[in-house]
Amino acid sequence: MRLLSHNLLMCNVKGCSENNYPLRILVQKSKIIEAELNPDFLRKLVTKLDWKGLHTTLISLDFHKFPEQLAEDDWKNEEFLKELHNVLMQTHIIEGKLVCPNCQREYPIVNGIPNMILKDSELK
Amino acid sequence: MFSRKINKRTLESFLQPLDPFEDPKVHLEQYQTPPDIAAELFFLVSMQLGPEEFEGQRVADFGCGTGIFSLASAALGAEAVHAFDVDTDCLAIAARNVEESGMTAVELIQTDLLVWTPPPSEKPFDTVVMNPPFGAQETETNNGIDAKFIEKAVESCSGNVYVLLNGKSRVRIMKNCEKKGYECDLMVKDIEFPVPKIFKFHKQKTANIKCDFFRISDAK
Repeated sequence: MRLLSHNLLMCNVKGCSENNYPLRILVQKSKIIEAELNPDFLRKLVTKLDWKGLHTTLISLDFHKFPEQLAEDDWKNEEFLKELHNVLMQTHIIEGKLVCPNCQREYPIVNGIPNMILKDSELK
Repeated sequence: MFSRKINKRTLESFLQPLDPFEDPKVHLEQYQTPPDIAAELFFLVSMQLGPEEFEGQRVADFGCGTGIFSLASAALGAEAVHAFDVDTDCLAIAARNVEESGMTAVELIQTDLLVWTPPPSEKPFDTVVMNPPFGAQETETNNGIDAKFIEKAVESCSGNVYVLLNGKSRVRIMKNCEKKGYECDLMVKDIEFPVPKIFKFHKQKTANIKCDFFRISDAK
């Protein structure tokens, strides 16, 4: 699971509707798999994302090099693009957990696949 | 990703060796989409709507099964493919198929699509592809599941949603699209989808289910 997928996931436990996104990430095992850098795709992707939420996630994963707010100049910066590409598209979380900041429900990541399946008691 | 000169036969032969379901589950309606049908449909979309439906795009596969639609999307140049399914076993097969094909664009997510909700920012996907549970098994839980998948897809997609459906659902789905104000284009009808005698209740060796292939989008 890359951060690219992480931003699609929130906590859907019954009653958990505030502060349930983005999920906190606990990394137990990760690896870098190289992929071709596509600046247009990156830009389009980030424009659709909640950058503030992503930034918080990046800080929590010890990626401190990213600005709190994006400026037009950032997109012309090769270093920035490479770093962003590395964290969003190349860093794969193989084992770990996603944790809801609100209810603390833990979702396991096994073999790179996050498991979001809820128990019957957690659904409406 | 293949070169731009990928043709239908290349796509088909890429999909052919992928691992199928090992132990298909009745209640999840796990029918294997034949590689030639998948290749035909994806190619048709490329020809009619343009290669930009997949090339450089962020695609979702709702109910990915063993990953055929996801891998076809990646082969046609999708930059990222999010493959969703509820079943651990078929996701393991999909993971193997993704690994062996080297298509790093494909990522797997285990979730119940009836529960999953798109993130609170803009619609994340450029294109959605799916071959949802047919509802041929008209049980309480399966009834109308295809329509629910379609709604979820349109909610989360800024572009087109491509769906392979049981022909028996045609009228119901078209009515549903009209009610919701969706644009609904029946691209191909009466596709013969072979369902081999893998389930105990099947009487013949193979039976064909007539399927329809739709392009659906939010007209608003």
